Amino acid sequence: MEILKLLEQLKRIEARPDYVRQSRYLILHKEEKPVLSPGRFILQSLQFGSAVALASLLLIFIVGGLATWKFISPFKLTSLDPGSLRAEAEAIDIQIELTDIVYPDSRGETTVESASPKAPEVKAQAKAEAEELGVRETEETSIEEALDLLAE
Amino acid sequence: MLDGEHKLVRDAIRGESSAFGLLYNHYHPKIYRFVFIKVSRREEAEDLTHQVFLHAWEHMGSYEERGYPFSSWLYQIARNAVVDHYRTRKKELSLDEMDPDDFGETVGIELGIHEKFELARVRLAIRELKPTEQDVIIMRFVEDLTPREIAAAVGKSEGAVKLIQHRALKQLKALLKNR
Repeated sequence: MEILKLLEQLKRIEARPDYVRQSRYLILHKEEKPVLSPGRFILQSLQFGSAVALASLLLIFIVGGLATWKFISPFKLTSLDPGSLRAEAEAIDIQIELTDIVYPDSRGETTVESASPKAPEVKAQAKAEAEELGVRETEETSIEEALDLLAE
Repeated sequence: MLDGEHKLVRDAIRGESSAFGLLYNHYHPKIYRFVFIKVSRREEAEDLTHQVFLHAWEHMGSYEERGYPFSSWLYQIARNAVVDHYRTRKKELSLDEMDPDDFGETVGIELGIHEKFELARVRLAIRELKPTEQDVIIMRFVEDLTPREIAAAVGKSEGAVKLIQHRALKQLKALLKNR
């Protein structure tokens, strides 16, 4: 039959050798996907479980270590104890002393004015020292005159 | 069927690329011919054939020997690849658009213009058959598969394959007579 002969002619069809070589190489050197077998699944599960267990253990060690530090450490970390901190704060006697404030007046002379609650006592002490030095206390005494007197 | 094919298939299932390489060497010409006759251009046939064997290698682990040749499984993959290819095609190729030189490159020996034209005419006539009829004609008369092997490849009974073969041959004669 003529048609059968024609169909047989189609057997002559061949692929290009270069293409066949390249295609074969690409297919056979393709990275294979791992086949998930029961054994592999169990192994992967164990690996994951071990990783989780180790991470949990590490976390426990870190938290537990911080908690026991205050018992084993030779240094008392008072900063971590709110009770002792409060006691320390109450024990501190803060006495604030404001020093004498010097204001320049309109005559260009300095006037010493004390703003301290202990100003009368300080003034008396300063007066006593000035008398020892022979300096007459006057309100009109300028700084320069005072310095000259002291320099003698 | 390839000599020692069962052992090669079992080795390939275990992942031995050398075993699959031997199967590739044996079946590649057949699959390529099958695909080339069904599509219009050499580049398309090369791409599709590459995809067929790539798919086979990637899914080798899931292949089960059921008493049929390994080629039946390859032809199933090839049929599906061609069907998917047709779904994305935008236009059909006519004889006027076919390049005889394109056909000539695929043939091992030199052919005259007349022979090239005849072979192109047969190819186009086959492509006018129904897909299953095309498959049966190519597998039976080009690749010399038995009706049992063809039945496994197309998913039908041997009796159905013989009936399809008869109708397809009759239709093909009519098509070639009218051209």
